Amino acid sequence: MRAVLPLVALVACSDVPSPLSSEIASRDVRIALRLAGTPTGTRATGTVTSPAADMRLVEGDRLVLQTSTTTLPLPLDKSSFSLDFPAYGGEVRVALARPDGRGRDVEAKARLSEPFVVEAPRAARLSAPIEIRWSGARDATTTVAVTGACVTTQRRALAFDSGSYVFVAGELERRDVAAPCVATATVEKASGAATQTTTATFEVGP
Amino acid sequence: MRRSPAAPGLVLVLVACSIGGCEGPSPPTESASVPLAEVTLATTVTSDGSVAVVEARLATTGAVPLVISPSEGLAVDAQGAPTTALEARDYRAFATVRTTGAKLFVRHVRPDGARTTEIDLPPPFVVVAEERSSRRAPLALSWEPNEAEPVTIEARSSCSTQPLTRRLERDRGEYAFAPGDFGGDGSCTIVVRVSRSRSSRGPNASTTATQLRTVTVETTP
Repeated sequence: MRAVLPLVALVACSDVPSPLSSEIASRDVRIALRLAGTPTGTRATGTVTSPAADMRLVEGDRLVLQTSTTTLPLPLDKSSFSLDFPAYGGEVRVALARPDGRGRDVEAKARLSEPFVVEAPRAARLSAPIEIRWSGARDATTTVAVTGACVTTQRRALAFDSGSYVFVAGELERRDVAAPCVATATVEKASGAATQTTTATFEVGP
Repeated sequence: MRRSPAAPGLVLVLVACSIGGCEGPSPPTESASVPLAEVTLATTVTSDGSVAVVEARLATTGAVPLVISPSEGLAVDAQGAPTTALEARDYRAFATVRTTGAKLFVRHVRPDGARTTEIDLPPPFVVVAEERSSRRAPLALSWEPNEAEPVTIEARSSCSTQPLTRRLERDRGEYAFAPGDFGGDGSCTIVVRVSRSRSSRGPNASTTATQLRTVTVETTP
């Protein structure tokens, strides 16, 4: 037993260089793409991995992000990428573009809901119903949440998006912290790994 | 960089076994082998207003669960009901009692002593809801409010992807599920359970008493 432990520890801690992308067949490349959109901008993050966990792009392999209006180069840091671009709604494609003779391009797609607006009441009272409204297409799974220092955090994953949600009187009230305070309503439209999020702040009184 | 994926876990297992040895779990302890003074009784009572379901568990004072021996004398008394023995099944014992009362007594009797645990249910209440409604309108519920023990509301149906649970910080005696809480194209039945619980803990006994009401609402899109 004692003789085995150093050997196992050695295997666990040994590092080997990341493989070069030119050595990896297209069928072994996996791209994971996540999109986080807001009315002020969009962030694309993800990973490009091979069976050996990560890889280095070399010799003509290029990673690009494409929207309906633009194509942007994506820098790959080890196996991860991250890119910010303007507010956007629609399909986003991340592709590993390969030179001739190295196999097909590899891609991942995600569809982001259009940016939208959230409206919260101007002078809300916790003792009365509070309605949150939002705009935009109903093409994703919608979640609405309200948070705040004097508010009991409530989060609803909606089965049906009617463009509004009413929190009933007292539902947001906290016993231990008295109003008034500033509350934040957050509406998120999620479709797979793509989420479009908008927030609105509003004053709440007792 | 690559790292061997399984090795760190293997190292931990090998180290743990080399230090402490790898043995199977110890066999369960029968309650009869533990003196009454070292036994705790945890009782859960759930009432729908006319029937109370009683569940008891025994453990050591060190919180080790005990298999309830057939010789244990566990019984429940409630208003308007005969004394009812709890039926033991492994670590738990059960009884169902017809009672509209809000107070129950669970007795634990042995040759080496006896104990009685008193259980106070929260005040009874009635839930009012429409029998039929459209899911495009709020599903409104009302009941007698009680600030001391706010209610928990749970709705289950085939027109929501998961149970909807609401714990109200302040009990105003009313709640309405919003149209967005339910989806689906056809008609569906929504089962709403409104509960109010009260817990207490003593040195050798703990109780959780719940009043639970269930209403069913037939809905259309």
